[in-house]
Amino acid sequence: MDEIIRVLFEYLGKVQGFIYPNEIELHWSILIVLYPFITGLVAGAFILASLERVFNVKEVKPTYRLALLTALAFLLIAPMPLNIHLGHPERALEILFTPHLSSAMAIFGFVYIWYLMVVLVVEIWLDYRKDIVILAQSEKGIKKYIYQAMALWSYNISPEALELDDKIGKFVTIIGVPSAFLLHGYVGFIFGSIKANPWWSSPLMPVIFIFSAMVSGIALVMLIYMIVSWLRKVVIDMNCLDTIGRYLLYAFIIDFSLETLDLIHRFYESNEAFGALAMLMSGKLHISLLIVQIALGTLVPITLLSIIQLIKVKPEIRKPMYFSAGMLTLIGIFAMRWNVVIGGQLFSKSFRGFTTYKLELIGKEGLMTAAALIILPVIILAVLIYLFPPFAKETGE
Amino acid sequence: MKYSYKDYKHLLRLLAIFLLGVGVFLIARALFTPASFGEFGHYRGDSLRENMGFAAEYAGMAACKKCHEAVYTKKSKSKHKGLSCETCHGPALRHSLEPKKEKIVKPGSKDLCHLCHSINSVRRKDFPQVDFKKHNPGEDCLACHDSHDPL
Repeated sequence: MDEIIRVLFEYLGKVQGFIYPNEIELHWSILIVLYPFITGLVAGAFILASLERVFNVKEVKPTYRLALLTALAFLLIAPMPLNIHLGHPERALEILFTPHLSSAMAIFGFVYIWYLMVVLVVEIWLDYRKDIVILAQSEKGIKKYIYQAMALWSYNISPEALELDDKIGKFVTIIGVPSAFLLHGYVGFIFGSIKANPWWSSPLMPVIFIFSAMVSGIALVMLIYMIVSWLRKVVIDMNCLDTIGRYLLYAFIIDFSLETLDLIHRFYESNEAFGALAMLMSGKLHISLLIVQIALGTLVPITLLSIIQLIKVKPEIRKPMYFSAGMLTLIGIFAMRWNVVIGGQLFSKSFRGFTTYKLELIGKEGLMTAAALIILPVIILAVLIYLFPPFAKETGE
Repeated sequence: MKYSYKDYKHLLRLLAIFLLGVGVFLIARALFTPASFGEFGHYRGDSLRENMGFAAEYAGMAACKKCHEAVYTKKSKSKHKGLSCETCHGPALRHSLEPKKEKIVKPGSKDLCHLCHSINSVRRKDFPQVDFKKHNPGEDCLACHDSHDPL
């Protein structure tokens, strides 16, 4: 008993005003910030890939395969923050074995598997099949067997077979676009549908999440394309980069408008929670929301991208401008996820008090784990690029 | 028909892998779903029985009243009448069964009073609150206040 009192007493220092006991400790940590961030990157990267395939934007072709591999690398890691956070990865299957229709999280499991197995893997496989068959016949040793298995021991790359692959691939991409929207829209839905939390509960949430996903995914593929081109010492296709930059700007403008609409709506509505939320925005979230997310992570990249549209800028200057805009965008979108997930847990449901989130450095939910989870997809992407060179087409033709 | 079997042989193999995957999932589902799942609702029926197996810890005020009627009567007329005995004294079932052997918690710590009565601007104004740094620091609350009939 005395121990409980002592511990509770210790926590008082973290708290301002009145707060219920179960609100002092934040249950959703930085790992839950990473989860929508990584899922968003996947959905955004896939939508960029679909620009070429479905919407016939031929300029972005150099990034088509790179975008698909990026989406796959990040999608493989997307559920990991959740599993690490829950601490019992073996229980993850239970949600799939006995799903409940009222559980948004259970439905996510199926959306995730659908997206991974039916959309992404199949699309990549169909697109790479010709290369895989050629590699299966030309490689030696263990790699030969890997490629043979990947080709499913069927080596027909006749024009008819490839035509069929292309048709089905296009069909899969067409299903893939709504699936990508579903995947990330669902993540927004999970927050937007929590009626007890006024910071989250908004029907705009899924839409905002979809557009911010597009923004972050496009920015990521743009950065990866630039970095990979530098590493390979090849000239960056400026036409492609400009087109990506333009689409990034369009997506960003819609995303920013929606987020501003959400804020204006909150201000105008001024419901009973507004006092606490206004204090949250001007206090605890001042740096991460106003400075990092809105100023540095949104207004600066939008300005940089707009300048390129409005006036003629030399390619040598455009490249660092795109690079900085891309980096700031990723930081801004990460801050957006942070402000949603962490921000939503900082105030008491009594609207009369606040708690504090202290990010630990090491430990299961610490900064190091988060950093590892961000680096891991990059390593997977490097392996995927090694196994499936996305540049074969451009050098071969 | 334009396409022959060899043109879509690889696609049929892919389809077979998917069907195999679905089959493995269904078998795993049948194997790993606990037998008592769905017995009463959308959960494992055995979990109810497991929870029923846990020993109770709290006795409830009626049990305290049996032996401590004087204190009970005093408290039930006081400002602390809304509090249960076990709020401050902790779970008391074992004590109520074996009063000689199992002793109850007698909280003497000032921190316990603190939890409800430290000054806090968001508390109701008519709720008694004191600044513990200024209000007789170092003294035990119980030296002046009776927790069963506080002022």
